[in-house]
Amino acid sequence: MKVYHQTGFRYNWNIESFGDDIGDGLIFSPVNIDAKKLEKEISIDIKKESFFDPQIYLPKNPKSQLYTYPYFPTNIKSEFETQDFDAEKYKIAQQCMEFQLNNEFEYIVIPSRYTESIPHTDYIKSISNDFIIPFLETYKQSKKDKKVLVTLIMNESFIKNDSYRNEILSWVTSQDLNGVYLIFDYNSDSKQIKDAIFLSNAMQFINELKENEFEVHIGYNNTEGLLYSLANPNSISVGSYENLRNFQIRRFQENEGGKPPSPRLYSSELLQWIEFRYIETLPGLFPNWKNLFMPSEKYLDIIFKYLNEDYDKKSQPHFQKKEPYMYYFEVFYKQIKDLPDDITKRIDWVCNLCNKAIEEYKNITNAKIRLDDNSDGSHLPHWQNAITLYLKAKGG
Amino acid sequence: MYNSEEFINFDDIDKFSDFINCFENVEYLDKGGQRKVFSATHPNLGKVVIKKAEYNPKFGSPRIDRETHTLRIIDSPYYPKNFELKKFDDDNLLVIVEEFIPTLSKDEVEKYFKMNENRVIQLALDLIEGLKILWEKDIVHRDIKPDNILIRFDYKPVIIDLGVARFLNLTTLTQGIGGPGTPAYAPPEIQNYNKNLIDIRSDFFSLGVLLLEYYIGLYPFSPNLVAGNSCVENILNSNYYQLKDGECSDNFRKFIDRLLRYYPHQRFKNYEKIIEYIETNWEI
Amino acid sequence: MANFSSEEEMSNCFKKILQKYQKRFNFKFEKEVEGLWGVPDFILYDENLDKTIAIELKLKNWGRALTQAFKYRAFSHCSFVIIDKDFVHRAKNNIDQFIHYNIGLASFNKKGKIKKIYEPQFTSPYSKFTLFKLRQVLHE
Repeated sequence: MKVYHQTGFRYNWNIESFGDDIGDGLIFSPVNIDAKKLEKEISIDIKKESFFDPQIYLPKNPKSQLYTYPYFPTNIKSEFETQDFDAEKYKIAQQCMEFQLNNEFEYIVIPSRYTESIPHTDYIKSISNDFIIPFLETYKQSKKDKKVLVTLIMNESFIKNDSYRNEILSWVTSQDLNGVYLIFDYNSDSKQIKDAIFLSNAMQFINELKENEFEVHIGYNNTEGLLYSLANPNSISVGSYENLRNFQIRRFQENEGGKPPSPRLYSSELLQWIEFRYIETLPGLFPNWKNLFMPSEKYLDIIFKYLNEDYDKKSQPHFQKKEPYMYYFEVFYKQIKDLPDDITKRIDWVCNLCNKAIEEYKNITNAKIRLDDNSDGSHLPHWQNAITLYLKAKGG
Repeated sequence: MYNSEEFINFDDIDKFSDFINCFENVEYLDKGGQRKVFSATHPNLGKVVIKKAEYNPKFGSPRIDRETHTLRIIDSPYYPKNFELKKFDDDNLLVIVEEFIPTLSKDEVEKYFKMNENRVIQLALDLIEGLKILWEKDIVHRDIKPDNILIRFDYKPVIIDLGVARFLNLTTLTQGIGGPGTPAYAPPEIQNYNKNLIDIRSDFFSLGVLLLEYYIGLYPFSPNLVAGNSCVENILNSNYYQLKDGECSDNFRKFIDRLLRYYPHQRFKNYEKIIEYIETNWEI
Repeated sequence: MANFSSEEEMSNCFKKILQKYQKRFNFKFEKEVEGLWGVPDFILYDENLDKTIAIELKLKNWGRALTQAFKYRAFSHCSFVIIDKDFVHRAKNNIDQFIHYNIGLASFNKKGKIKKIYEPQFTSPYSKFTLFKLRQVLHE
């Protein structure tokens, strides 16, 4: 199973990490990088192992660098409206296909529009008509030999509605495609998904696509990528900031807003991002605290420097510093690569990881450290339940 | 490929009464409902089957022409030769003239296939061989059922009524309490008329119903067999006869279950996968 | 039924009590200091900032208050959860948690009476950075 860097504003961090042999490729984000820059400054070698997310989620909204891409609908027709797709879809497909082929990306990705609620069946038809059909026809004319994926965004209501979920599965597997670029869109106040039904349904969704011999590449996942791995997708992603580990449509709308994130660090033992302020409690109260973090020659000393010194603003953790995220890329990538290939063994492996994490959390509690629900292990019982539900649905 | 124009030209005939007069020894084979089926002989074509039914004018004559063209040019032992497909637009009549093929009676068919796994599996392979001609052109048959499958004396199937049924104003009476127009072999996506989901995998479901029926000798979704209020309800609830241990091999049960899965994506992905499953699990 | 109709009412009432007693007990206080870690409802401190007490007021939700109060130990020597008198019994039933995390518990009513239920030990704040920030804010 591969791991692709989900790039965003700090795509240079991902490129640097990839250069250190962390990750199997990148997923490029046009909202964050100018088209010419992507064409001229990113090497073909990197692009050949990466793919491109066209991000036509909101066709009327060329936020940030999207406007630099010729295929974006508002560049095809100014004041683009949804009804314009009928007339312009082939032009959009042509430009978008050309862009991806010229840049020699590993896959061709067909975009799709974003929708929030369970739409009328016409939505499926509109994705077919506006995107899949024109793209495939354009692709066939190109006579190239790349695999083609379609972008599929599945939000909570889609995933939890059995009928709609199955309808999407039946429809997408009937298309002449090699796979999907799959994005789970789960909105909650909590930073981890604490919803066993959503998680198990998501795993089932992946599994059913795989059983139909579709490649499944998951984008915007957080640490629950470990759970998704049990359904054996072809790849999951690793992203720096939260908005790259949790898909939010507001990223593509104007004024994303929000306050800056509190700096956090990923603990491989706890399967959680821990707020730095909590990490400050650890040395005084939790003797073997360093065991919570997978060793990293390159990053951990820099990251923990602030713990050993008198207060120095420069060494304070800050979300704009790259080391915690580079560390996450390295550690999470290693965790994924350590997973057994055999799915039965992988399930046991992940269950063990959960059990160990739960034990460590008990140790932390015993050490008189009270974590809030965005640093604690309250997501782990949901993970365990999700595994149980998933295996039950599979008949295991 | 048989070219009917070499022998006949029905083009100038615009009334059915004149058309039927071109044939001799016209006898009813089946006159149930709104479809009439005759056997007849023609001086050039020999013994033929003539089917006559009203077509639904909403489809429009050009569409029927377009969609039936493919069916008319098929040259395969799994289909009777099609000599003529004529429309009498004034009366919205669709008339098909096909080769007459001697086939086994229903009782003989039932006796041959009942509780015989290898024969049913062979039938599956033969039907796939015939149906793949349509599937490779992305044509969904949509009306696979025992009435549309005749079995020759060499036990090979012949597929009749190549998907034209949907153009016709037919009522297909089903077993049990299902009302008029209820397709007893149609999968849930056709029952629910969910157009987005109808593809060749819909035919796989119908194939599954047919194969199971041949195997057990009874229509598997019948409320008389598995309770339920109607066969359509049973189809929509995946309530069908469950083969028991000892009645068949595990592989056969799994095979049927896979064909009869509710959603298309849960069935076999394509016909090659069906063949692969068969070749892996049976020596045919 | 809650003693107080809202946390704002509770906070305003508590402020009046602090104003009443600050001279007598020689302490200062600030309300809702931002830029630290969480926003404590009040911080009580002495002249030299040798002793700081962070307060989290809550009508009912003792669990959430406890979590917040623990965060305040990043910059304070002592943290207290103060619950509406009519709901403090729920927190009292879980007093072992307050003891375990060394967080104080008290009740408060509209008449201005604060009843201490558990007094924690004073310990050094565990975050140099937020302590520094607190000192910056309080000295401004």
